[in-house]
Amino acid sequence: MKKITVWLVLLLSSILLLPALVSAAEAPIQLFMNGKPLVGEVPPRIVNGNTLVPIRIIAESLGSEVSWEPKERKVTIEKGKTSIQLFIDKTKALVGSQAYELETAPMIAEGNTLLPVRFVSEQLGVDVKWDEITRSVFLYQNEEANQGDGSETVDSPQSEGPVKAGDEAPAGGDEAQANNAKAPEPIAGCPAPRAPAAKQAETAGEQQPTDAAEANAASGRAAEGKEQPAGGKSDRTSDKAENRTDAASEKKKEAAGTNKPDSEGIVKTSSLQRESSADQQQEGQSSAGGKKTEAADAAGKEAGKSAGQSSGTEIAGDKQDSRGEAANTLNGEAASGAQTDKAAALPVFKGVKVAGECLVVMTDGGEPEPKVFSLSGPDRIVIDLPQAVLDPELDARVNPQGEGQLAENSDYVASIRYSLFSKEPSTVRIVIDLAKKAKFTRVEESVPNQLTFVFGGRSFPAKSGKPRIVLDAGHGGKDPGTTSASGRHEKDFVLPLTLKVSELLKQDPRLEIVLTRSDDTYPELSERVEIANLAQADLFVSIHGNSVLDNPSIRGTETYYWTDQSREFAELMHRHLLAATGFPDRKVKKNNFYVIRNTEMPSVLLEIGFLSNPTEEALMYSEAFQDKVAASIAAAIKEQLNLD
Amino acid sequence: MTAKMWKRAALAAAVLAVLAGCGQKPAANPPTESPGTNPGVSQGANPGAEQGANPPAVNESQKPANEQEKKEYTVKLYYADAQIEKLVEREKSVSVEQESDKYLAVLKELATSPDSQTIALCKGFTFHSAALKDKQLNVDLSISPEGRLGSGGEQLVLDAIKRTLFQFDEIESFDLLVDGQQVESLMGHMDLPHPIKR
Repeated sequence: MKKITVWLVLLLSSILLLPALVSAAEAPIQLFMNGKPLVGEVPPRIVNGNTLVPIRIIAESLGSEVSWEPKERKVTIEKGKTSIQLFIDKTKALVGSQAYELETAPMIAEGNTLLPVRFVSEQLGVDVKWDEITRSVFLYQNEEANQGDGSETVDSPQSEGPVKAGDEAPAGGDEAQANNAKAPEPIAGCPAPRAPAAKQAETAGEQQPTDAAEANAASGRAAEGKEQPAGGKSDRTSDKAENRTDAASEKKKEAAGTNKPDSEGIVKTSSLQRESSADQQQEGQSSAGGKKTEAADAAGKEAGKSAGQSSGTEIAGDKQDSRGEAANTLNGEAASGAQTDKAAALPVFKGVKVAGECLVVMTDGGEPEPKVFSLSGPDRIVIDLPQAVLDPELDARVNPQGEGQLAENSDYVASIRYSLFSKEPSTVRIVIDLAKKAKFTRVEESVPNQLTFVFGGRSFPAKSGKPRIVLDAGHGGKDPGTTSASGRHEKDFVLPLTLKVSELLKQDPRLEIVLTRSDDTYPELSERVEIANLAQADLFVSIHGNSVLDNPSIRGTETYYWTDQSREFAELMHRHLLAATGFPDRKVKKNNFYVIRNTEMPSVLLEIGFLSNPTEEALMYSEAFQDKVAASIAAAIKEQLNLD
Repeated sequence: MTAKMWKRAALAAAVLAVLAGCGQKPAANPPTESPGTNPGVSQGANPGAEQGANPPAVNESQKPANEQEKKEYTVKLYYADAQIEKLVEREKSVSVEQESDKYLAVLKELATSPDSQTIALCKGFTFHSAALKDKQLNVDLSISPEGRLGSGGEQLVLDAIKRTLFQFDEIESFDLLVDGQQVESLMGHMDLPHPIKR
């Protein structure tokens, strides 16, 4: 019976996998920043062995300023002290005053300017890595200054490919080699080395948090509703896991003692098991073909929710476990069959290596499909390796509670612990105690016996002492917001207004500005809150436009707050806002809207006016009115911070 | 309204429910003669605040049995005031063929404002289904772009649906699905729990 099942599963998976492989050969080139997909107006293309990407990606994702001079057909990219000049259809390039010869000239295609990604990225201190198997370009941007000098990483063999082929940045390449030579313990498969260390320090020092936020916001949004290549998958999972974390840790107390023996901190409760089961289910559904489908997403949410909401009884735990197991079998892992046939052939967990923002789980005998989730208080990341066993050497080093410690650490990693979390089925659990809060993203690479992860993604540099403001343009993307009297969308009012506020505030060097979105995309409400909280923002301002088409005579400006610490800011903001709009006063109100309820700093939500009222609508979409309102919001923010 | 009155009303409803089950002629309460709004019972500011502790009982009454055996319920419906500042309550009788239809019927009432003093918060809503299962009402709906409200409106619309549905004692929770999907937010300001519990 078991054998038939195994055979069926194999047959099924071969049917499922083959078309995927065939289509992958024709697939467009994917672009990732720190593991998150980036989507431009046109897909990247390979010309003459070099990958060209749309200019907007360079501008937004790499956090650089891009300008265009039509006369010379020149693109200037500036970031920090680095200035790159490129010329359309010319292979000559200038970095500062130094001339370079490109293999492939920048070009204009379908109305989009395409630039060679490796050359530009590396000059800006961003790592570029080509993965032939997924036909993807991976960009890795370091958000911390002087961090991860890249000396401990080398390119994996997979990085040979079109992007690499030209080796357009001779300086970068050579220095990377030099770095490798002195690297004490290179980790194959880690993201490609950072740009030359000296250059890195130079540009990183200049890097504004804004850049990070915009790149992050852009990449996060790109994932939404789009085909999600393997790289992003585990990140989504960990996102979700993190959202559930609170519920899980709350349940911990109730559930304690119902389950595993307490091996200090590593595994205590049934709720943790439910977490991993939920993850398993999600993974199971989304793994086929490497695409994240809506269904899988919904199922993942469903599973997560039931995990979070189940009453913490053993019954609930059991139910979840069995669901997880069912998913596991469907997963095509043919787990039980493999176990019966050759029990000794389970992958072996050999250890963990960390370098910069890179973390590699070393295995032997294959790579288990990891289940990753994060927990807070203290911040830690859990990696479960199902169908894996401990290396005998590691097994010998565990304490009486069954827990072992690895002597690896970095700026991100305080300590690493491991245990054989479960014997049946055999599961290895690795807990990474974080030195600082950071996102953790799987980098899917087919380096044998390695699972590669990077820290970062949506992390923010430590605050420099400047106040940090998060501006949140409401709605966007799939959520158009309200509809105006003449049928226009709210999202198209709030974005330009928010960008105007941002521009005004950016002129003040005493402030740091972070946007939750800078284009027409929809970060979920929880993502907006997460940006503000992770950035440890000082103020949060969410900008909206009201509407009630059932009564177009309704007019007026409202300011909402929820937490007590926000009240004063709301009143001050409302004064400025009313003076600028000249609309009827609908007062400062207290209401528990998601973004102002869950942000940890003084936060307000502004309803500038009623788009359903033709008078207010006409003004609200006008440039002059937006300028005036933007100035009033900026002034209120500065007054709140006692600047000016 | 006092607590005593609520108790009395609840008792009356219980008696009626029993009678209805037997398919008998109506008794205690006179059947509601004229469906439609009853301005006399509409209340001003935030009626729910007072009623929160005492969930209103639903007055059920049964018309003389005709061939369809339509059932009629007098229900409370919630709308926004004309300035979309707060909720107002209206009472109306709705008639349905069977009891299980009443939830959908009531929700559909929320899409039309009964008078010029009120705004139908659910105007852009299309309610597709509302089925009670294990004390949870599962509602599937669509929202037109024109039906999307600002932040204050979204808060009111959720409150209106809550008050309208939780007047039925048998509903312990309800789940709002938009086009069959569990969404994180109805209109991008409030989170939308799945389900919303009493």
